[in-house]
Amino acid sequence: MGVIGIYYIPDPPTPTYTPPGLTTLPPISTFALTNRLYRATSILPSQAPSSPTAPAQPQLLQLLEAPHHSRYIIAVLTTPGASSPSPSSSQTQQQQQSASQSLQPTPTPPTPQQPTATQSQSLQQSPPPPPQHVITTTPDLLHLLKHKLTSQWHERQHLRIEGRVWELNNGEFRVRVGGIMKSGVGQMVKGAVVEVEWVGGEVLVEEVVREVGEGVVGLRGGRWCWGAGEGVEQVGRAWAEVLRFR
Amino acid sequence: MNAPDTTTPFFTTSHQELSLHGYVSSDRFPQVIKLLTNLFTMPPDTFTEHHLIHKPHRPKNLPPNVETYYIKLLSRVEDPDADGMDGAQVYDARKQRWAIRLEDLPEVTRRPCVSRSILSANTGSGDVMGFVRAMGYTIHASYFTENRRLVHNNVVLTLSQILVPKTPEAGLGNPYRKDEELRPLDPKNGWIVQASVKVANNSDLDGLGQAVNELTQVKDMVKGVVDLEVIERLALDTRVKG
Repeated sequence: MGVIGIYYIPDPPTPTYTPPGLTTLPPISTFALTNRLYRATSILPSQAPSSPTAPAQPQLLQLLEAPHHSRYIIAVLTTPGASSPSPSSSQTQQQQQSASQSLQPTPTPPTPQQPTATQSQSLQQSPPPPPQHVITTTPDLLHLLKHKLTSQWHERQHLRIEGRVWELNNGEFRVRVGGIMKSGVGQMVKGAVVEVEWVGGEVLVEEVVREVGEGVVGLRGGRWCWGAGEGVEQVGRAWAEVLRFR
Repeated sequence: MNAPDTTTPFFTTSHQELSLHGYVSSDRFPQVIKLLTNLFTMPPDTFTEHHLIHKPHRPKNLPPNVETYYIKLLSRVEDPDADGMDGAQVYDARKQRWAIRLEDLPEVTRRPCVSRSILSANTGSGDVMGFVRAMGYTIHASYFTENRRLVHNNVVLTLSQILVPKTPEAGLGNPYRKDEELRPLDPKNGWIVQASVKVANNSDLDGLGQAVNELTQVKDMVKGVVDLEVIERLALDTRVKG
């Protein structure tokens, strides 16, 4: 497993959104993903307020089932206020600016290029996200939360993503496009997501995934989410960020 | 995070456990093991487990009738003499493969056994100790169990000794330095015996009935060697008090 980037589009043009770069290609399969979000019922003593006027925020626990990445459930625990605050809105603006500076769509994937000075600057300036812990586990943790830990955690949201999968460049890139739905509701309610995954051999730089997404697939009008770490941990963090209270 | 280790044994996932308990004194232990080996027609399985009991953070505004529970992190300690271990001496609890387990208070039942629900989540990768700690749990106790296990049909008979760290400097304890760092919890060095059957679903009445029959069978089978009884259910209470 290599690098993934997730592009979130809050207001796609149509409910069954297909990015412009993929309209002429047939998808190879479908995929589905679920995210359950739990909110802690109390603040831990170790958590501090995010600012003098804003009180400390409760922890969020996300249980992600992404069978195309792992047979386990990926559990992501985010603790606001344990150190630095969550990414601010200025980071989103910087990311959208760099998105508009990207290449025009081309039929073949671009060769790796050095990131432009503005783009690398915007990546370095993003504030660090709140501390996160990621483990993989089995559905028994869900039972635990549902039956025995109800006084400590409340389920706040149950989202489901369903969509189609495309392969680019002889299977080196996999692009999954789906709509975010509330579980049990058939329609897209919270926007669309596009996961761009590099499945080739060596570790690839984030910039290349971004260029494939914007340059080849033609992603616009949204923002990127990346996950720190490698493998399943990276997948968990990236998806957890996209689906936190969407 | 590395790819999940598929060689370390997994623990049984969530189930209902029906059990009976007994005690064997240290001087009778060698003879009891011999007799049980004959009765069960198998030599016992020997293994060590690490139990980390965690206490939850209890919020101040919790209503009085709401319960919170201690949870346990459970792992199998690799035999230092096994292949690839090279007679290991260093033990890092963080690198163990932990299962997150909640053993519920046994239910009130007419059945001649203790019956309790065990919720157990195996983990694949990641720092499970760090994760649980970040959730607000603190380590309340750390102990190891030395186990001898025999099986008869669906009944698992386990004889265990609890070993605790000798001094605070021993930290969570090192099972590879038993003599230096650990001591038996029981000053008389005895062994606790548990006969148990796992039933997948607590609403499976036939399964539960069969479990009780098998337990009773084993109880009769080992009479005179070990006396198996129904213990007081509150002795297995994992609710946080106060």
